[in-house]
Amino acid sequence: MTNETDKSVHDPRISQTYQGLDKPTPPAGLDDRILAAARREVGAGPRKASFSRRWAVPISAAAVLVLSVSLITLQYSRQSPDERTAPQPATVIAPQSVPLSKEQQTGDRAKTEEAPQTYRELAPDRASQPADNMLGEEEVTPAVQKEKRIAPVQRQDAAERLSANQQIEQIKQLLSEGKKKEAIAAFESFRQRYPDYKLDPELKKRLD
Amino acid sequence: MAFVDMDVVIKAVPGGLPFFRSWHAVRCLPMALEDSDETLMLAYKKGDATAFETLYRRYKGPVYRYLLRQCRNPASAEELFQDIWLRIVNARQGYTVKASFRTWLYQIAHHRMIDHYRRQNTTLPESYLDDPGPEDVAAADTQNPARIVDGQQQAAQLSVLIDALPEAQREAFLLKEEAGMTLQEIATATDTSRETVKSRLRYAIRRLRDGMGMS
Repeated sequence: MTNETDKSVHDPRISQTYQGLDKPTPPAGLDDRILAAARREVGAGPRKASFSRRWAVPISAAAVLVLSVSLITLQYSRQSPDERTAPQPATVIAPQSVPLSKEQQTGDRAKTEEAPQTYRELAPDRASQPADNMLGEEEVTPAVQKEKRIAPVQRQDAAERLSANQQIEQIKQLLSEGKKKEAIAAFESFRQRYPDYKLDPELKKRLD
Repeated sequence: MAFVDMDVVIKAVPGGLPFFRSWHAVRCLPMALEDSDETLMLAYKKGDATAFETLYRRYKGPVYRYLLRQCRNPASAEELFQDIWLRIVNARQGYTVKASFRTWLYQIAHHRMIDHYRRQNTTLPESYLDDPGPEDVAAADTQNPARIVDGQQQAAQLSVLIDALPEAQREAFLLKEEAGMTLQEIATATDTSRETVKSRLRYAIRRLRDGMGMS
C-alpha cells in the first residue's frame, strides 16, 4: 500500500480548511420522508412476495369457513323435522302419568280396561303424536334415543307408578268379577311390592 | 451541560479514582459496543427500523454534502439524496456483506451522480474520460492570489476552488475529505483504479493548494 499521507494527495492545511466549511444537512422533511419509507418497508414485510405466499392465509381461512358451513348445513339437513323441534323429555313424560291418575280418581273403568299392559303401550299420548305415527312403533328414531338417553330414571319411576296403578285396576276388576280370593292374593303380592302405596279406602274395605 | 475531561478529574481526585474509573468505563461503553455499519444494515434487513435510523443519521450529513458540492444544486442534491437512500431501503432484502457499507453507499451515490450528469448533458463530463497525467497536473491553471490570512476567507476561497474543480477530481477530493475514504475505497466506489484516483487527487490538491496560495 502506498503512503496515503503522500503530500501530493493529502495536504493537512487544505483538510483543516475544508473541515472549517459550513456543514449543511438535508432538510428535516427529507429526513422524515426517508425514515418513514424505511419503516414502511420493514412493516410491509418481504417485498415481491409470491402469489401463494400472499394469498395463503386468506385462502386457508376461506376454505375453513366453507368447510364449516357445509358440514353444519349437512348435519342440519340430516336431522328429522321433529328432532329440530324436539320437546324436552319432561314434557313427554308428564302427560303419560296425568291422564291415568285422572282415570283413577274418576273411576272411569271403560278407559282403564282398555289400558295397555306394558309401559310402552301405556303411553297413549305418544301414539297420538303425528311424528311417531309416521315413523311407526318399532322404528327407533333419534328423538326416542335422545329421550331415552336423557331421562331413563324418570321414565323408570313413571313405569313403576303406572304398573302399580295397573295392578290396582286388575285387583278392582277381580273384585268386580267376584273373584275375591284371587283379588286378595293379588293384593298381597302388590303389598309386598309396593308397601308404601296409599290404597283407596273404598278398595281397602272391599278387600277386608 | 459542559463535559469534563475525566482523565483530568481522575488525576486530580486520587481518593475517588476507582469510582471515576468505573464511571469513565461505563460512559465509554456505548462507543465500544457501537454497531458497525454492516451489523446495522443486517439488523435492518431483519426488520429493525431503528438500525436503519442509526445508519442514516451516521451518513446523512457526509452524503448530502458530497451530493450538494458535487452537483452544486440543492434541489438536485435533495432529489439524488432521497433516491440513494430509498435504493438502500429497497435493497435491504438482498443485502449481504461483500464490501464495507460505506463503499457500497458511495458507489450508489456515484452511479446516481453519473446518471444525473448524463440526464443533464447526455454525456459524461470530460474529467471522467480524460484523467490528468503528471504533466497535466504540472501544467494546471494556477492562480496566484494574494495571501489569504483570515480563516473564514480561506474557507470561502476553498469552497470556490472546490466548485471550480473538474467533476472527477472534485468527487475524489470530496470522497476523501467528506467521506474519509481511502484511495482504494474511492477507487471501488467510483469504479476506477487506485492509480486513477491518486492522479485525480493529486490534480485536485495541486489546484487547491495553488488557489489558496499554499504552494
